[in-house]
Amino acid sequence: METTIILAERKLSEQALQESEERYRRLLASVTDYIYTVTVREDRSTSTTHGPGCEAVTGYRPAEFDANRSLWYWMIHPEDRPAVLAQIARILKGEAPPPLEHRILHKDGRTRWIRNTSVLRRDTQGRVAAYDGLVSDITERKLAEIAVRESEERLALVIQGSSDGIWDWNVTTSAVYFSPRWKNMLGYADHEIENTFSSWERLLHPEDRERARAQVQAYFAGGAPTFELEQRLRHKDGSYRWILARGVAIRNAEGKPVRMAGSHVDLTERKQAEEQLKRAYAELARSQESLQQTLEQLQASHEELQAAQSQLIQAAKFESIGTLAAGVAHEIKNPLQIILMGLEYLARNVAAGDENVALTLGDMRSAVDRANSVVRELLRFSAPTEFERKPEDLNVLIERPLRLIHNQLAAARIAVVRKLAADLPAVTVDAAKLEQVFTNLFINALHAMPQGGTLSVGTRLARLGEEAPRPEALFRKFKPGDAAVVAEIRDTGTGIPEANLAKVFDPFFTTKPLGTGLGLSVAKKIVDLHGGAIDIRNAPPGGVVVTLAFAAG
Amino acid sequence: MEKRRILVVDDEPSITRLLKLNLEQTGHYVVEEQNVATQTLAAAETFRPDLILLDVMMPGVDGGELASQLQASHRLKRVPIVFLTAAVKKEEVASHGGLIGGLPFLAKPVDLLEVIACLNRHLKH
Repeated sequence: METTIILAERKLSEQALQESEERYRRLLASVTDYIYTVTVREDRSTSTTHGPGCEAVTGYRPAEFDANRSLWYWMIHPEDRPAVLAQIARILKGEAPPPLEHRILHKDGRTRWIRNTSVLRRDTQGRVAAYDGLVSDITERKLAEIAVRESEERLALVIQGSSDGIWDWNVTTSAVYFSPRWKNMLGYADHEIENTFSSWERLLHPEDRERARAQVQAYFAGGAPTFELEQRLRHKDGSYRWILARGVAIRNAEGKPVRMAGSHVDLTERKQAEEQLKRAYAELARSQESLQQTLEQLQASHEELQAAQSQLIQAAKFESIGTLAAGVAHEIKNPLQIILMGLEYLARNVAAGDENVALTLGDMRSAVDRANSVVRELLRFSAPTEFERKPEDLNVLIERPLRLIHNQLAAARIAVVRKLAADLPAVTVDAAKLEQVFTNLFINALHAMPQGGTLSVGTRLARLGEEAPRPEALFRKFKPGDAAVVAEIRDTGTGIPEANLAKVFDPFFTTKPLGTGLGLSVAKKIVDLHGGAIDIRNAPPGGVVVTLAFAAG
Repeated sequence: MEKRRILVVDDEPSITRLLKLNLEQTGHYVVEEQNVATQTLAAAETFRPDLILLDVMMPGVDGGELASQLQASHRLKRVPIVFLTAAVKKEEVASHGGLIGGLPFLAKPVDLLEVIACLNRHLKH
């Protein structure tokens, strides 16, 4: 029974021990520090004991340190061993050096940072008897420190190496860090510009101040993710440089900016290049414009030249025809005079009563008249034309010739239909010459309808758009935007054989037995010299339509 | 009634001959022909015409110039001159009242009635 109790008690105490050990292990696992003690005799360390926390920091158990007395040394990172030995030497000499931070190689192979703080223990004679060390694992802190340092170094390198100036503004205190490059950009050495907000304000171009302030305020008020400002800052040499500032603000919990940092880039050259480009572009645009104008002028001159040339050719043609006609007229008129006088003499002196002789003389007489009228038309066609141009109403110029041949039209049973537009703009023409043209055209129509028919005469105003009204050929001389007064004369005769249509304006081309072949040539000449156009074509269902166009005004 | 004396000057003999034939046949005119322009002045001073019918375009001398010579002659300056020409159109003669450069014109071809009408207009009575 007793044995049982004893066993039970032992078991209980074992259990309690186990529980206690378990608690202890859990505690140790969360511990990052441990204590060691080095016993010293005659300035030499004789033994070392490692506290239970050593396993958490180094990976080695105290027993392993006991088994291998130099394990502590080999555990130190080779690069740090001299520093540790120097530290120990100082301690053994009785000094109290500050804590040493160094690396150890953890049992798992990783490098750990520790902080080793030693405290001396002396015997009654004051000799160094031992020292206690507190080892703290500072790996996390150390790595963070290194990261910070590296980051700072990297930043410093970037700032130093960058062509951008760096600024860092504490919005609350108005202190500003301006990097040397920031100052150098404006021709100043680092010490020549004070690191305050007002330094920037002093350098800012007066005209940019308001805009800069507004942009800063707008950025602070929220909205844009980054701050950007193009500003002019005064260089040490007195000139202004264009600087682009870019930055980002750090805000407190209330969203109020407390700090803003960013860069400066010198835009002066870019601005100058832009300005030059702009000027060059404007110059180019100007030259292009003047080139365009020159081109247009050239085009206009070319068109004028062509018109002048064609008029010259026309004039030369008319002149040579004129010279020829005058010569021919003279040479023909004398023989005609002889024939005419001869006929008259014969008519009086040939025995009366012979009807055939009388008829023959009559025929010859009318042949003289015909020859004479050909010569007369030829002279008229070729005569140098001088116009007396005045603003005229085309309707009136049509009406007068119509009245003149009214009787002839009536006799030929030809009905006249007028479709004359009211309020036609005036045309600047020689009234007599145009009346001659209309007379010719009306007489042609009269001759084209020997069995009677209808003569339609119309006028209208045509405005030329992008496309010319029909017939297009008529409006070739006109440009879009021009206004033309158009006259149209239509008969219901037999029309013109297609083969002859192209020749109707040729001098001496005629299909009439008694025609001179000059009527339409003269009409065309007059219209052409007025800058107008004339077109003649067959009109379904039958007959001919003549269309004339003159520039309005 | 005394016949009127007409001097016809033209380098074409057919024209002067036919004018002479036609005019003289009327019984009112005596016609002298002259085909050489340069001899006109002498011929006129001999013939003493009441009127001269003068061609304009002739070889050697121009009708207009000949007219000035005739008018410069003391004995001939009162003799009317009528140009007979192929160089001018009938319409032009008409539109200038039959006068060009102050002198009457007849445009060829012209028939006898027109010639006589013109002579009647310009002959001094």
